[in-house]
Amino acid sequence: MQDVDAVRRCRQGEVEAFGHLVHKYQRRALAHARALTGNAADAADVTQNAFLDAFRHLDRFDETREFYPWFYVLLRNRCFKQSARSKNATSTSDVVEAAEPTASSPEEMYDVRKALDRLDIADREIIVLKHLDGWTYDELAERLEIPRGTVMSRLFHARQRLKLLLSEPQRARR
Amino acid sequence: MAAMARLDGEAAALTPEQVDAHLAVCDACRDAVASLTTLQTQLDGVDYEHLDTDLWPEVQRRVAQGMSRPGVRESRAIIGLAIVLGAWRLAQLLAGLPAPVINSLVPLVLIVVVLRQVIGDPFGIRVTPHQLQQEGTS
Repeated sequence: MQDVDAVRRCRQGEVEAFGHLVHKYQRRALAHARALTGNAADAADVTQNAFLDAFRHLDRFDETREFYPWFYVLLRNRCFKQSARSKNATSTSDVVEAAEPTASSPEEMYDVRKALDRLDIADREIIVLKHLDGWTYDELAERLEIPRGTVMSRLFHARQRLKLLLSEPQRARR
Repeated sequence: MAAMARLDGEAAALTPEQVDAHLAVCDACRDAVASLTTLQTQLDGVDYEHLDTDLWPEVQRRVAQGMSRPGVRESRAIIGLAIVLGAWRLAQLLAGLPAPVINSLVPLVLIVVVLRQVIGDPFGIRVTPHQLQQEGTS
């Protein structure tokens, strides 16, 4: 089933058709949410709520566009809200603890992940979308609704801050 | 910025030749590019932490729950209507309003206005896109 068919069927009241969209995009959405929120439990909550937002607002979806970029805006709104809520409640060390290294992960990769989790959510988002998803400057500009020049400067500063965090590995491991 | 764009494989304000010419004479920029290249390599080694959770059963349950009960906005509109109609009736009884036409029309207009807000035009005939499509093919 094509996404647009699923959306049309949902609009006609076929709730089951929404399952197609959830199953197709949940893994990607959970990965994005995990990267943005910094922990798996919050990622599952915000992704679930973002899918509910999407279902409620399907009438606003433009069928000529792709589903995921539209859904991503809802997801990132949820992630930013969750991040703001848990900013004071969760200490940095809790977030770092949540990202345990896997047996196959080299130490360096673990350090990078930990450093990413310690970044501000806006910095983390742009780095994740650029490096892990491979979005181009133009795609980032369009989907984050910011000018291309802003994408470049935000990416530049986010990388500077990430480099700074990576240069303090002993602090990150604490 | 131009060197960063080049490393990202993006077009920049300066040509690659201009960037190279600058890097040849600027130690600070050369160091910055070297450190950025290292960072790119480190980030290339990182992958998403994938979570294999099936969200559909819970999403489906909550969607069904949401559809079976009226939304907050609808509930508030209906409660508001009940309060206004109750107050209107009370005012009628207390003040003994004499105009029977107005007494009947005001509640009717209120009901129509609220229904219009909650379910759309109560006198309208709704056709879904699916029905329209079927009409077109038959």
